[in-house]
Amino acid sequence: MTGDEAIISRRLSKVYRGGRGVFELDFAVREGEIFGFLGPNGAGKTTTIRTLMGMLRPTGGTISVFGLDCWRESPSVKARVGFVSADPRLYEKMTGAAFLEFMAGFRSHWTLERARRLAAEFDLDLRPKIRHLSRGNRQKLLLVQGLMHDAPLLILDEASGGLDPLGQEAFLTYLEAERSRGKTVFLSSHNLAEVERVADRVGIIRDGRMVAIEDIDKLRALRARKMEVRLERPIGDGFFDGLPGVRLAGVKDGGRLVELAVQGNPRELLARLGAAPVVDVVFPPADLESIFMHYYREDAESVPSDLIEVAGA
Amino acid sequence: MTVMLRKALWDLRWTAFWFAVGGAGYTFMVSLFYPTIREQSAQFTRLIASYPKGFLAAVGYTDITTFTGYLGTESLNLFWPVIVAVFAILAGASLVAKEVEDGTSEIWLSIPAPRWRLLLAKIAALALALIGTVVAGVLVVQLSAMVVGASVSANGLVAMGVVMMAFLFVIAAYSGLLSSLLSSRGIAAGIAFGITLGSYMLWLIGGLADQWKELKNISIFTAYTPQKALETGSVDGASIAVLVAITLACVAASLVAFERRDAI
Repeated sequence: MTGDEAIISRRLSKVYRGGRGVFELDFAVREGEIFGFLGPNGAGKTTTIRTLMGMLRPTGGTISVFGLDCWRESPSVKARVGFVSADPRLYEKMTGAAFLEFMAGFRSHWTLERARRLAAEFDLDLRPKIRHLSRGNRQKLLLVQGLMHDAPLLILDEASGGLDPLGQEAFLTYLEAERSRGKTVFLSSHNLAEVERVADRVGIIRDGRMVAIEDIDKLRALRARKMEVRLERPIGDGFFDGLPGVRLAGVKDGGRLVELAVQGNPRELLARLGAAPVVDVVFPPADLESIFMHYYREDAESVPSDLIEVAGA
Repeated sequence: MTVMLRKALWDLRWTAFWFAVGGAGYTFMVSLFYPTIREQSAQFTRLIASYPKGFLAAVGYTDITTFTGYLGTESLNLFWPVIVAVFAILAGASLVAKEVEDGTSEIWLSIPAPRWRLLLAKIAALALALIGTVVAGVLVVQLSAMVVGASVSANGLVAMGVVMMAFLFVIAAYSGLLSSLLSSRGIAAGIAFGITLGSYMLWLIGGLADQWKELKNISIFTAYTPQKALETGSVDGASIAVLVAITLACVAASLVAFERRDAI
């Protein structure tokens, strides 16, 4: 740790009756970064966030925000956090404006002014009662509520769920702008595309345990990418032998379509392809989904130790 | 604190209004029959004397020939408290459990204030709503007396109000404690109803025979004597103090329990 962490979790556990929960989570989120927190439903993302927000009491370990213990100093933690819940259920009888006014009442006087600006940015009408709002507009209201405090740390739990593509775009653009203002974002999601677009680092949680924490670029580089090479005519089976990080994954269409798994720098591979009768090459960028799936395959082997960057290491 | 208090009062406004109207409306309605009862008091007294003692005790019968006795029998001793106790139980059981059931507890607890203050604001709002309900009950007794040509003293009205308030506060307080401990409004309200009914049964059985009279000492209904307070203009300080002590203990326990529990 460098001393500029916004969140530090040390061996955090929250175990429910029945044995589910999160177990010995060690991670740190640096100030000014967007930290993607990935995992499928039930992996422990929301439990982690609820302990962060002081809603659940840890059964072991500690978690802190800006050096404040999330359980014992919960009100001070919340004063520094803009929180967006995954649960879109709100005070149904209130109008959007009344809800924001209520939530702003616990913060500084200019919060409401900012809320109105944000509502306009997200194209949200604050006049109807919440019970009349669509799922997407409820989510927008939650977002405005979470962002209006201008808090130094944003904790967002599935915050873009229910947003239409325009809303999602506005949301991600907003997050990028907030990062450039020095804000820290803890972005829990199972939307890999949005995490891939904005996150600096990701933590992957599986069955309540953190299985990987890594810079998103390094994570991509560690995974093999698929390359499809279309040829005028078949080439010999041994054509790709000896190339570092290259493995023949399949041969189709009578040898005219070759599928390769490529890990690391493809320079030598491209040089060798120069001597082949190549018609077309498809080489998409490494996607987070393949990385994610690697950790979630039933038969996934143990996680490479170099992918786990433990807080305090 | 005031923001939370305002919202909690706003949330309670209609429920409190309708229960207050229900209790007061019932009291006023039955009071309109008092002139008829007064004119034929001898016949009614003979008729009622033929009823079983247990039944008369159960419905809170005392003496229907006086205005206060009639109003006590027909409303204040049993029916009014039943109506408003339902409100106290439902509202008390909703304090925390409703937020959990409605899925709003995450938003509620994301507010940067200590949990105990958030809950205390809700408790204060409930107390104000109960005071409003009692004030409506007191005012309607005065109004009824004026309408039927009876008289009640100001001291009597105040004393009755104090008794009613202490009684409702204690019911709301243990309902609220259950709400702080449990995540289900239905279970909290069910247990609170059970406690209230059990307390009433202890009071009833304790009044039927001398050998059971000790049971009355463990019932909150023993301290609930609105008719007597209305007639004498004074309250039994010890009984009220016990109710207040239980109320404060339950409120303190609610705040501690809510501070320490997982709130989802």
